Amino acid sequence: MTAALLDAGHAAAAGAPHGQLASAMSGGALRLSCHKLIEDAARATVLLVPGLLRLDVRPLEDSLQVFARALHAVPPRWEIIGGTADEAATDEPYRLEWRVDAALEPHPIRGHVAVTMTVDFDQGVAHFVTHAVFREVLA
Amino acid sequence: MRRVALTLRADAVEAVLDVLMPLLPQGVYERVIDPERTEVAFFGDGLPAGAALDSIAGDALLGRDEEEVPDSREERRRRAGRAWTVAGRLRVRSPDDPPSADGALEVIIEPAPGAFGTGAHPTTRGCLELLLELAPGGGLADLGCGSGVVAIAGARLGWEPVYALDFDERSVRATERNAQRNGVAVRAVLADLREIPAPPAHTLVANLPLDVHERIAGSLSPATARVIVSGITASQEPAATAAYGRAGLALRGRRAADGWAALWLERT
Repeated sequence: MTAALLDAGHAAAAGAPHGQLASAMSGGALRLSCHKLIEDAARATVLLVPGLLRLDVRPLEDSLQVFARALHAVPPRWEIIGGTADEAATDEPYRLEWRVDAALEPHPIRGHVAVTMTVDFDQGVAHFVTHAVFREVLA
Repeated sequence: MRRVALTLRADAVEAVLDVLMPLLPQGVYERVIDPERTEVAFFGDGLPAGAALDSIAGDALLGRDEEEVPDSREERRRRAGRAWTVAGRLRVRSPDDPPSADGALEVIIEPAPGAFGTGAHPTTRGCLELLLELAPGGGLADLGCGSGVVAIAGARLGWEPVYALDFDERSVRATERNAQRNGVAVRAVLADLREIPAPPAHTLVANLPLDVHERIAGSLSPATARVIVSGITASQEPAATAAYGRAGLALRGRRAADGWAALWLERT
């Protein structure tokens, strides 16, 4: 049941409009990646696990809004586990990382999601790169 | 380019976006109209037909508007708008957002792609919150003016004359446009405060990096009695306070948000 949520073919098809790549890893894990240019103030999807979750972002001037949308009756729990918040101060892209836990039956799903953002203020556009891995937690 | 704007029940927006987002990979522009209604707008030439969009929105749909608009980022950003309130007394909004219903003092800022945007960054908010605590009077200089929101707010609150300085020519032009739109007198000046001293205004509002604050503090005019310091992180607060302390100013108030600090200092 939960393994079906990690079907790479399904994730690839559903995520195709967003340029999302999906592949199956050994042990049944699902690996996802996506990159996208998003204009200032637009909200767009940068990660989609059909039936489980969607991650939208909205670059807004010099801030970033993140929308974690649950697509399952049991909403996944998002916990920030790392990141840099000041591109100007570090010379690194803005980066956020989460651990995602979905308490599903028969097996919970755990994921790691990383989003980086680089902003071109002059052009009013931001470039996002998302990497994620989700796997069932077996015992 | 076709622009479609759906007015939706606020409590149903996310459910509608579940269906819309796969159809609109370039994204949507949301605007809260009021607590019950949200506008979701999107642009493109290959958008779904109106009837299909109505079907997607279902009973969440309160209205649908369509029009042809220029195909430009500036146009899309301008229409996205943005409105926010400071300390319940001052509302900053784009020209396309509805006027305040509660009579709050308003500053209208034209959103533009670029670092200055509408000035909603925590550093600017800190400046405005502290500015609202001061009794207006005498001259005010907005250093690192960006969109000009602080200078315009100062003029609306009663400071005169008001100057606005920035080393970015686009910010100077934006400040001039926004001052004109708000019907206030602000003299916007292109200047690099790493090279010249701050103007001798009674009140300075400086949203700048720490090293520029240290330069300003080192050449502060005796005519300047109050400084609002922003653009610094909380960890830089002691250094900024010390720099202005050496110029004879003492801390009177502060605001902090998201790791940023804004300070109000006065001559002792």
